Amino acid sequence: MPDKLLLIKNEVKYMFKEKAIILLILAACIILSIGINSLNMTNDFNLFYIRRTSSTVSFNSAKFGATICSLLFALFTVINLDKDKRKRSKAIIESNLDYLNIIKVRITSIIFYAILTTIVGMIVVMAIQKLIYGISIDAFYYLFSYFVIFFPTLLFSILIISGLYLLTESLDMSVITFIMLFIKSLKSNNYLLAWVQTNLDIVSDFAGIGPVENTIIYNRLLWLLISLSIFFIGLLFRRRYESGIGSSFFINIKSKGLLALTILVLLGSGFTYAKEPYTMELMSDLDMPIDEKIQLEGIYPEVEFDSENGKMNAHILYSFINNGSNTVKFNINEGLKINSLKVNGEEISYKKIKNIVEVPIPNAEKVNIEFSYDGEVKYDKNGVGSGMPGYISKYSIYLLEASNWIFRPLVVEGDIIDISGYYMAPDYLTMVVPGKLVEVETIDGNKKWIFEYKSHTADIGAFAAKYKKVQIDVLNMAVEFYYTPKHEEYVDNMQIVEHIKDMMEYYTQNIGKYYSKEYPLKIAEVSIYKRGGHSSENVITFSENTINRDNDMYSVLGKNNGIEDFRKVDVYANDLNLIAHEMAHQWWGTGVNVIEDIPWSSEGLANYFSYKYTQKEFGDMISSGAFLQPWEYRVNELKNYYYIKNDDMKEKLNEKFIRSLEMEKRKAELYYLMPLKLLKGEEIQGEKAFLEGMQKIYKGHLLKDLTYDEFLKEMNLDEEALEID
Amino acid sequence: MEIKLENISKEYKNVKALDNINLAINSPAMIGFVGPNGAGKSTLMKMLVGQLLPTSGNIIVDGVLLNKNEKHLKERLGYLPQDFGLYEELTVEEFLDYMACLKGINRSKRKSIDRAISLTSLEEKRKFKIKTLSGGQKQRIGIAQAILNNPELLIVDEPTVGLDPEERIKFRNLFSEGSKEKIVILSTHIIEDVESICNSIIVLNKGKILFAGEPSELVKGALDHVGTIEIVGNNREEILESGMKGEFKITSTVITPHGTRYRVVSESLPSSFEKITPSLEDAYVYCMLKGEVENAG
Repeated sequence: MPDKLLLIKNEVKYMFKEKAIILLILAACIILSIGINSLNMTNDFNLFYIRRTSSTVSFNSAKFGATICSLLFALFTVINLDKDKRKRSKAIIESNLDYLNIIKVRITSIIFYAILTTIVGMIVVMAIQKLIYGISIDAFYYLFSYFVIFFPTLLFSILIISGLYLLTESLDMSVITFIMLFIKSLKSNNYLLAWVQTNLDIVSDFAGIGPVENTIIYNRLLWLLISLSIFFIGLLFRRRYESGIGSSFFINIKSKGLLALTILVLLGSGFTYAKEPYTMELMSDLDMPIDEKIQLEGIYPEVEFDSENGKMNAHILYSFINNGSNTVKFNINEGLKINSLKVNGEEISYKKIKNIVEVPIPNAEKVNIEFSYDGEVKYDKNGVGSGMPGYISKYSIYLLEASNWIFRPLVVEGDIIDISGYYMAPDYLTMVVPGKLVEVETIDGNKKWIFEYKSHTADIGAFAAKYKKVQIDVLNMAVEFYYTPKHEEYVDNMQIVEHIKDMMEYYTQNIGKYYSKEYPLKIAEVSIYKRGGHSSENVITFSENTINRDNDMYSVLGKNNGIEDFRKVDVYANDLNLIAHEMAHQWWGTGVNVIEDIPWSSEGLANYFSYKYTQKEFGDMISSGAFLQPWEYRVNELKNYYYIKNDDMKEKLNEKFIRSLEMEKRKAELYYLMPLKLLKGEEIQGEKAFLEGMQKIYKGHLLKDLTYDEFLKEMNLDEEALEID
Repeated sequence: MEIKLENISKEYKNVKALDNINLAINSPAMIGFVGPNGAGKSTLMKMLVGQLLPTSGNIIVDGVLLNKNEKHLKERLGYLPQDFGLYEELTVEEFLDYMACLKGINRSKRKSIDRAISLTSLEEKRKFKIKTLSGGQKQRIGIAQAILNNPELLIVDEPTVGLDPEERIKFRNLFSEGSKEKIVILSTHIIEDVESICNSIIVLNKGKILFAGEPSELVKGALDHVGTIEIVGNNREEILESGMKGEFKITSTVITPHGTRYRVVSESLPSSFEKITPSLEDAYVYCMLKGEVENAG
């Protein structure tokens, strides 16, 4: 019998002679090279002109390459496996050795070429990065992108299509089934199902791969098991002795080893999918029933971050005023394990159903609940890579209230909530704490960041990175701007600090004074793993793409904007608008508590004012093209959407789709319809009068609630007048 | 090498392709499988090379059940199926090189390829891509790959199809030479091929062995059952009618200056026929005729 290695060598040699593989490797190199700029070819405006670094170049090329090369390698594999059937050469080949050996040898040879393609492609992209773009090489990102993303995709494609071909013994059927799996991967929000390209859009320059590394590796592990399962199932149904699928199965099943392996990988796949450890279904605010009989008065967090291991350890004390409730429910993060729970100083047992913890409380007016918990924060199931509300990694901590990293009591919030405590993190990280930083202590390589504030909400965030902090003084207001030194050149060249000053001045002049003299406004750059911005109390964040763009963008500041520059101007206007939007929330959201009554919302007000700022900075043409027109388009699109126009037809849709449709509608009304209504009000009253009216409202409702009716009344507007056609 | 077939049957949806076949083959042997289309020749060959399983019965190779030891067989096998294709984008030499590796020929690979090329007269075409060659030349490549490893068991299904007479003779001799120390099994429609080289003949029809033995024995069995008659003028209706009725089979019709000479094979030859010494072809036809009669009986 021939030596297995010699057989593989022989197969590799003759595959090469067939030339198709050379074309495939060449095509892969071209695709990978094109992939370097793939971000600029997407519809994702946020990712245009992102600064090229080793991480972006290697990741983008590998991701783009994986998507197309997955199809090419799958086709190459199935054509090779179908070769003997097509050429009627199977009988001759099979007379020399078991045909299973030929299948194994062919698949191994294709995997060899997949490795070769990976290495050659990686070298080509490295050469382009170094020689054409003059960017130094970071081997880690290349190895990660090419051997954790690109190559495994090719490997899965080869195994999956082989399994499908062996199962169906039909080239057409196996290709069609493969394409269905391929499309499912591209369209799924669930990171576990994104086996082709992973759920990640881009590797963060700010936070590195750390926050998403485990999920990518887990996805690869899961799909290795799934693709092996498909392959082994294919082997179990491989046609034998010219028999049908059933008879062949009974012949193949006699191979105990194959059967055991198939069962093992199948169980492994199921277990890996079901026991996925990194994500959870995070409930949105809308889904939570609030107990009206108990009120939150204070939160006192003491949190230690072990960023090296992605873990945290917290002791949180909550104080409540109880008006007749027997329990308090908390919405928790499932990754955090409760070590102790005390009510009024006494250890107590509690009920836990998924991510809701129900704590029994005594019938006393004042109730204190103390939690001690630790662990790793789980991400939102559908947000891995671009919508992560919380993560802890070596170089970046990003924890929004939405991640429930501080367990959220499902109760009424008091008008003022007393919040004080500390965050402790390794001393190489700078923490951005909410409220006022009282003191920083250094303890054994860690820093303890002590803070306090009187908050209007129970929303508590924590953000940390190797920040550079810039103190900005505008009209006697203190603004702290935190960003990574990696993006300092862009911040300087694109005059980001000046724009922040401008925004503060614009809002102060057109709305009113910043709500607090005590709490500085903190603006922090965060990673792109949570796109867009966020505002809570005195902290606003924006994702790194806003200040991490290519040097080409510098041309925007020149006055000779050529045709190509329009897109760059749009990108720049959107970036500044994002900061302006979040900053506007400090007036509408934090300063004035806008009581949401769709479409009336702080989002609508923030969008209106950031639009006004952008209009001032960029003129009517840019601001209209970048904001007004898309808002109008989206509002009209949803208004005319069949299932929205015909509400009774919704019953025919599945619940998931209805939910996503309602979310889209809600978003369009809050973010787009409301600012359009405000612009209509401005049109009716004139800009000056309208803004004066808004100033009056701000002053009158500062640190108080503002309803839509109050707004309409005080602005002398009626709802009908604000109707949008 | 020793091959035993014990009670082999093969059924396809209630149709018996092979029916209780028993056979013992020992090397050296040069065996010819003959029979009409659908007789079960190719089915039997596929079973012998391990590509088809019998519905019942055992195939024993060198004392071991074939399905337990296919590897043993495949290491010793050279096989040319009836309907086959080649890797057309390769040259003759490359294809044989590829096949040599599958056969596990390592050390003497070059020599084996040269020998196979030489024996199949493909020297001039060795650097040609297979897709540029004629049907006959491709048939020769098929034979070349089968003899590449100098197999102990060579099974060739209709090997001389597409070859010109000269090539046919050459390959007949090649198989015959090879059978001096091994088993060569040849399936064919051409009785002449069997007659020239086989020391054993197996006649199959409708999945059954009608005859297994030396060709001379088959001929001996047909003695007194083959005759000729010359019909003068156009008075042929009577003999043609008898032929139609199955009383005998006309194996040749020759127009003579006086009329038509018929060569016939019959279970009971009418007295008007002149008995002649049967050829192997006559004996084969007689065997088939006898088989049909027995089946009808």
